[in-house]
Amino acid sequence: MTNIFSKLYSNKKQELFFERDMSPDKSRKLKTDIAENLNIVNEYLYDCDDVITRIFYMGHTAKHKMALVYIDGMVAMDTVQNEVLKPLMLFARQFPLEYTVGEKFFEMVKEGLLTAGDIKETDNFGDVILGILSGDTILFMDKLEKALVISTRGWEKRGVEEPSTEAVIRGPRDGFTETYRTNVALVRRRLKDPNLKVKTIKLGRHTRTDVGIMYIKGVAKPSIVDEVLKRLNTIDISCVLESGYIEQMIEGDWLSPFPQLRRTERPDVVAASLVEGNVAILCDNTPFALLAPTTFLSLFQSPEDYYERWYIVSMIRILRFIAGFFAFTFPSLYIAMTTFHPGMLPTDLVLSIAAAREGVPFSAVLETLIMIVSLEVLREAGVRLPGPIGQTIGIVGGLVVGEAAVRASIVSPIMVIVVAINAISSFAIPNYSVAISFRLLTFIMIALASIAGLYGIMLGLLGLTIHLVTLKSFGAHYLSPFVSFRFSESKDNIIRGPLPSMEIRPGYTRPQDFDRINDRRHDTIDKAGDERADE
Amino acid sequence: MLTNNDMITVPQAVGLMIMTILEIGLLILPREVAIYAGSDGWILVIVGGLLALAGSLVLSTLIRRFPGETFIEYSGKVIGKFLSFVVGVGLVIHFTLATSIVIRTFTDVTNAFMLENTPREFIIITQMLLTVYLIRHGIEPTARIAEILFPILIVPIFAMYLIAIPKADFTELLPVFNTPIKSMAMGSLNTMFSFFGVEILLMLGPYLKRPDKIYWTMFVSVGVATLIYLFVVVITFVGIGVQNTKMLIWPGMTIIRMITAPGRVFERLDALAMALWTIASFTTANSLYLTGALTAFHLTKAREFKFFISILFPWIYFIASLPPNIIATEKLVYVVKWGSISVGIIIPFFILLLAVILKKKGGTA
Repeated sequence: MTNIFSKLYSNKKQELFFERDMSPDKSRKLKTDIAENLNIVNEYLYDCDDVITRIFYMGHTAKHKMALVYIDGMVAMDTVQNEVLKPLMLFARQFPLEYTVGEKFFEMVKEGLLTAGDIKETDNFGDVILGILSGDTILFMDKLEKALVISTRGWEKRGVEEPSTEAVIRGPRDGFTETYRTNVALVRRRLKDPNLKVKTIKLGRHTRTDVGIMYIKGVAKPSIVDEVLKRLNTIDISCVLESGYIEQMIEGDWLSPFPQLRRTERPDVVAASLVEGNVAILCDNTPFALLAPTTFLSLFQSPEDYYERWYIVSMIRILRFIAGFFAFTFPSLYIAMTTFHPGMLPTDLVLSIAAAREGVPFSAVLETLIMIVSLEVLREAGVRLPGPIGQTIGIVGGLVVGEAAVRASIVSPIMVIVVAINAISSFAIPNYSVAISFRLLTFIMIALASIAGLYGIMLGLLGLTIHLVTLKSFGAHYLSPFVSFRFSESKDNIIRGPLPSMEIRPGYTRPQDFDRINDRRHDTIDKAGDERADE
Repeated sequence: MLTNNDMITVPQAVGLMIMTILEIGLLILPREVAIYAGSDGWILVIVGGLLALAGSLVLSTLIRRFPGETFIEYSGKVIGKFLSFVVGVGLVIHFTLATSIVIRTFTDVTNAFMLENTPREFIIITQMLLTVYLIRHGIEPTARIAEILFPILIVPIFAMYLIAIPKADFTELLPVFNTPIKSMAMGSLNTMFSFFGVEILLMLGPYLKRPDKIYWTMFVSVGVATLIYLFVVVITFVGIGVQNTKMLIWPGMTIIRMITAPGRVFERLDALAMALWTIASFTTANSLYLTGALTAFHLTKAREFKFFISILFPWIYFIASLPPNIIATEKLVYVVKWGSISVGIIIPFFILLLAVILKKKGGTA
């Protein structure tokens, strides 16, 4: 299927990425004359009123002409003032500088005068323009074919806040923000490991978004890291505004309703996954990181699963799977049972369903569709509206309209229960993308059930199983560990075994280093230790 | 050729074999053994299982003797190209017929218990489309599906039949050893037919990741299948009585209809039983259809394997919709069972014998 579609839609682009790049390439070298350089910059950035060019003279005799170029609002102004302008214009004047313009002068400015933290030198316009647009400040010097890219990035940003989509009762409350560097730092703070590698590339012809992949060398399988990098490098896209763009561009099967990368707002989830051998993809301008490879199972997991005691978590996980099953089958089961196989239900229940449906003019299928569609509309309306109004919509929609619809005999009361259970079940799945996929599958299952009853449902379930079994996420089976089962992995799937018993990392990422937990309590703190503590 | 990593592991092979064996037998085996041996029926299951184990030993030995080769290839070495081609064509016909009757029996049962008014053709076509959707992905995904569905099939079957235990009358199993040897022998042979499906091993040789563990694989597969059959037969006998079992078409299904789930969630458990029966039939159809296409693929030495799936499709559909009623289907089932014995055990046995006599052996690779 994928082949047909990709053949249909492929318009093979022959030209390379940089040829259609908006910014100048790196072959255009800087000129000697500063005015000429500024002209060329202006050539690229004309009609950009937010670009500020500051020309000044440096030194005791004010004979060295220099220019700063930056974008207002993208640079931290106090850094530009205190670390760049002040040393060059004030401190340099306090004692005579006898250097003539040349290599030595450049070194002195770079290493002796500027107090800014991060300085790079460059000799081409590609770096210059990209630097300006990324929030760096460029320092041009007259009679030099080099310029300095001073990292002065600083803009208005949101602070680290609690992630809203993955709230936990127990666990850290910090979530990713929209700033790439902050996000990387949040993960780095959790993994003080020199093997934690961060590789940054720029994606998007217009946006030049920073996209970084993080992995732990020696744990993540190199072929998976290479595969992620390879797929990222094939992306040729005009803009990357959110990690969702990347997700959809690099996932293997885009016809699948299931996400093949796990997205998370939580740095602790990223850290845990990195240790399990996953690769994380962080993207600038979005608080959502992507994790690859992903399994179906991991989409049913919450970070809290590892922080709580294992009995409780195991029970919650089993509940989640039951909810997940009902999230896409419950209305179709109702239709199949009432229209095709009423004999399979207890007689009393059939009678009460029949009594409740008395006066309802529609068939069970149509009734279900009406309710499900209105519920979806309610959900969508509730998402868009701000908090208090959203709640009102929920109450008005759920209670008032539902009650009125039942009173008016448009739907039966049992239908309301069925649809409500279906909806609530889908929200018990921790991952919103999967919950939405399941809501979509509900419609397919309803269609199948209305055609062939229980047999139709079985067809749907088996078809879904086939799809999931053949689906792969970056070389890992989507359904692992259920396929190519290993007993050692049985401790962390449907149930979550006690943490000390999880001695090895999960196998689907094929980590190089399997060693996860060594429970040494019994070696060091034996019974005697407990007794000592009692005293 | 198939995708290069299309190899199945030992657990996958076990799952695939068990899921291929388990199907029609679950429904009709109690009746057949009851007719042959009355209350001694359960002994027939054990003997039949042992016979099937012996048959699978022949197939396993062939795989060990000619590693990395399919039946088509090594039979060509032993009995000559022409004869092996004829046997190969026979195999393709057998697998086509087998797939057809599996799908047809499923359709009959579905029509009888679940969807009385649904046209037969609709069920046949949808079931076949589902199978084709899977086997187009190759052997390994098919085995993976079997591996995944195995616990989903087995655990509820046991749970469901166990519910019948409180009502059971274990005196139905008495008297023991009351059947003449002749009908015991005939019955055992007939029971062995219920294990048809093991002959897919003929084609699976080159796709096994651990061909050295094939004996163990087959021992576990046939052993587990025997135990499950034994369980079903015993529960059916004690649940509805030996005499009643003889008169029912699908006693395995009838007993499920009779029991009520605890807590009265469902009035009858047919829903669950039909769901499980769909799985059992689906997995069997998968492996038979796949093996049929594989046989044709190796027979013609073609490059594209998926092509043969499409070629077999109309034939399977045609044969599946051929029998006008259940009786005719039953007759076709017997044809397939004899075919299974002949191409699945007798011919391989002679080929093995000849290979031993002629000292033909495959490479060690």
